[in-house]
Amino acid sequence: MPPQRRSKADRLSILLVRSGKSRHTSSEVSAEKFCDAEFQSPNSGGLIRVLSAYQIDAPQLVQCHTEHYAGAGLDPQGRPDFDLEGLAIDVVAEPLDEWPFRMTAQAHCNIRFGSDGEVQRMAELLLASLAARTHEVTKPEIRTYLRARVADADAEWVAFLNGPGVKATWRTLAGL
Amino acid sequence: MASPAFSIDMGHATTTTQTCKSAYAATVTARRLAPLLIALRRGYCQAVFEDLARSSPEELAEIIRENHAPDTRLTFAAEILGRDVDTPAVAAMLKEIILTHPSPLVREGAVLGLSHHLQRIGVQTTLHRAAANDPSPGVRRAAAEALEG
Repeated sequence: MPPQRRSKADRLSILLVRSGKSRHTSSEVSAEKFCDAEFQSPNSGGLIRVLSAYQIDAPQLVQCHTEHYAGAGLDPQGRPDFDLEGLAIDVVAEPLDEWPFRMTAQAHCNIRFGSDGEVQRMAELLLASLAARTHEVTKPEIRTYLRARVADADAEWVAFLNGPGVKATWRTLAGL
Repeated sequence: MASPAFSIDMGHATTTTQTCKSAYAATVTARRLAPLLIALRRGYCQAVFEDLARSSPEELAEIIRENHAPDTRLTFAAEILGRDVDTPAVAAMLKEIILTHPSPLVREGAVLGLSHHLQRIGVQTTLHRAAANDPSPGVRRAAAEALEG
C-alpha cells in the first residue's frame, strides 16, 4: 500500500510523538548538542533525515510509549517523548508491518527532512519550547499500564509476553 | 645465558630479535588502535560503540575515560557499555563518571548504563546520591527511575 500523506486537519489535536534519548532541560544544552544527542543516526553518526514517530491522541501516550519500547525490542524504560506537532512539514503515514501492536502499527509515520539544516532548525524550535513539548512517561506508568493489560488478558500483550525472545524485564514488570 | 637457537651470528640474532620485538609491538599497537581508528572513521556512532562493547570493551571504556568523543556521543557510549558489558570494572567506572563527570549528558548515560548493575555492591548507593544531589534535574530523574529496577 503506498504511503498516505496526512492532511493538516487530520493532525489537529493529536501528538506527533518521537521517543527521546535524554531528559534535557533547555538551560543545560545548546541547540547543537541537543540536535546531535537526539537526532543522530545510530549507524552513521550523522543526522537522521527520516525520523520515526507516531501520530496519536494525547491519552494514548503511555500506550504508545510502552508499545514502542516493547515492539522495538528494548527494555521497558521511562524516557521523554517529544511532541513534534507543528514542527514537521513532511509527515508520511507508514504503518508498520510485523509489529505486535495494532495501535502503534497504524499510528506510525515518518517525518522527512531534505537536509541536515532542516533537522537542525526543527531541533532549535523543539528546544525553544522543550518543556511544553516534553511528555515523560515513567516506569511506574509503564508498569501500571502493562499490568492492566495483563489483567484484562489483552491478546496482543499476552502474545508478546509469552512470545519467543521477549526480554525478561518485560515479564518481570508485568508481574509474571 | 642460553644461545639463540636460530642463529650462530650473534649480531644478526640481536637484530632479528629486535625486529621481532618491534613487529610485535607494532602489532599490539595496531590492535589497540584499530577500534579507535574505526570509531574515528565512522564518527563515534552507536553502532560502533555496540561493536566495541562486543569485541573490545576495554577500548570502549578508554574512549569514555579519556573523553575521546563529544559528550553527545559519550552519553551513548556509557549507556551501551553498562548495558552490554557485565563486569565489576564497568560498574565501578560508571559510578565514577556519575559522581565526577562535568557533563550532565554523560552522567545520564552512565546512570542508564549502571541501571543494569543494580545488584552490584555500591551501585544503588551511587544512584541514590545522584537522585538526591546531582545538579541536573534530568540526571536526578534518571537515577530515581533506575532505582525502580
